[in-house]
Amino acid sequence: MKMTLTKTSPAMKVLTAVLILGFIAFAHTFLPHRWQHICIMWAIWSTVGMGWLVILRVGQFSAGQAVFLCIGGYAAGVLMLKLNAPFWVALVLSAIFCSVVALIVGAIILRLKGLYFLVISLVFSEIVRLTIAATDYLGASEGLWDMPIPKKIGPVVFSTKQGWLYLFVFILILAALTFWRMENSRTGKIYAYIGASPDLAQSFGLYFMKYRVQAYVISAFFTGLVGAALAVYLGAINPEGFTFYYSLVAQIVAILGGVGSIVWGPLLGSLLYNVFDEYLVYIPGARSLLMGLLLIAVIFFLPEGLISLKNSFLKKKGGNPVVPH
Amino acid sequence: MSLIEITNLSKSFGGNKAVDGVDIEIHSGEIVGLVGPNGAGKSTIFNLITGFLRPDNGRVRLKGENITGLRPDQIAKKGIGRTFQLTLLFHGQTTRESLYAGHVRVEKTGFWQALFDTSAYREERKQAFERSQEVLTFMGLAEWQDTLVNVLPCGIQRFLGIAQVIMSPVDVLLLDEPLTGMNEEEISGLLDRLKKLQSQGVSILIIEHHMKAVMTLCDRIIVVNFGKKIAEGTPEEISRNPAVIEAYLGCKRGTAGAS
Repeated sequence: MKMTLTKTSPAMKVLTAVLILGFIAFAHTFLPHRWQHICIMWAIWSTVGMGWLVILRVGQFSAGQAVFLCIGGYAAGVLMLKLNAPFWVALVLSAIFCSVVALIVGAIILRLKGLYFLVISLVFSEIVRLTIAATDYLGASEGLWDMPIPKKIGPVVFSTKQGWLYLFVFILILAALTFWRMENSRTGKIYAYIGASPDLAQSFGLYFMKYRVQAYVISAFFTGLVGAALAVYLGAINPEGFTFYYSLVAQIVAILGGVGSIVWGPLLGSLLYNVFDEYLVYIPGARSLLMGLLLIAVIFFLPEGLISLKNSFLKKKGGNPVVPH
Repeated sequence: MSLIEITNLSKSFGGNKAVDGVDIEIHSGEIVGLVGPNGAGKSTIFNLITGFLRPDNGRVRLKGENITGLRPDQIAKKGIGRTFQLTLLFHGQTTRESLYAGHVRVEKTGFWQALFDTSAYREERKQAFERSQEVLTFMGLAEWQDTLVNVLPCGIQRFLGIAQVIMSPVDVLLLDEPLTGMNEEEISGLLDRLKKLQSQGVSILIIEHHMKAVMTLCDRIIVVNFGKKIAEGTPEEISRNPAVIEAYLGCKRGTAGAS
């Protein structure tokens, strides 16, 4: 009989630890420069994709996830360039600032349903971006640049890609652990109830706004954290870096991987997306076209995303049967 | 003292008075039927009591406490459970997972305890599991426990709706046409269980069109038509009441307005 909680077996924990350590060792010695870049992008978009997916869980389709990258990035920029805050302080404060913004804005816009929320989340994102583009203090359309390179901690140096790779993977692990625990505990169930039927959930004493705002704030925290780190990694940010296209990528990686799992979906989707994106540069002009074809192919042949490959693989091996829908 | 006391409850949608000055009183351990033709305002009364709609006028008191204008989740926490006329389901969840939803309101641990899997949180989840075992057995849902709710037979989905509500203690249960989509066997099974719930001290207010069931189940029946209460009494009194017969069957020639 299934208990309320899915327990992690010790073997799984050991396997996960070995995989992470193995990856770091591999990245340190063998990983070519180009693949370091791909891995950084993979970690960034995996985290952002998870943030998008957790909002989808409470029944809201966010079309403006880039706004949290933007707020996180600019907060880090202001803290480091104008207030001379050290990188680590700026990183954490930016994420917290992002969460507070999400708390205030979310309490208003999360009341809207379906398409109305989709539109207003996009509008919110654009308002923030265009306001920044018109604010001289934030560098207007030129943006902020000359971000200082963070000091090294131990053997991790931030003047190379490797150091950044570790940082982004660390943020990814932090986000993945949090979302994994959320999804496999009561919190994830409550989100699923709210997403499925807010009225029914409310008749059991679950206030849908509380949980929607909660999901939104957590999403903003991790997306803001990535945004802050990304701004310093790139050394410069401007409003053009946070257009709707980047909100779209958050959705694409989650949908490619499969929205059935908050953690595994974006991890797989982001890998496919970024490898594809990186190598498509060789075919000039065809990048967007081929990316579109890839999306269509995945949605057409694997409507539940790449993660469904795992299920069909297990089924052939006589493993867990696929749950019917 | 009455458990629920509703005075002068009114609600209009545009110019249409859906509920017009209705008074209802429910005592502890009582099963009260709420009947009337389609569109009489029965479901609106339910939505007004449970906070899904705000009344234009009137008061709802639970054990003497004014609960008018509270949010549905706040009212649910005070001990009023309800089901819906349309079967609402948590799509993608199994029967057992859906049942846990009804238990959350008595759980005290919050987000952080769930995140860090503390012992208090585990203890509560164990209680939820044990309670779900009891409820599955009581409602006869044990064989469906691992089935996704959206593929359950229609009658079983109605059983599940009530099972979810009784996962945590309720003082009063508001059932909106619970017998819809059930066969005769399921109907008698549900009526038995409602009687058992009554003997455990749960009051029930039930909207139902299945008159035979209402007559056998209810201690008292309230009849509404065009948003107004037109009759109230024991099943025998109601079945003889001329105003009720008129509302259901239309008036006899020459006797219009006689009642």
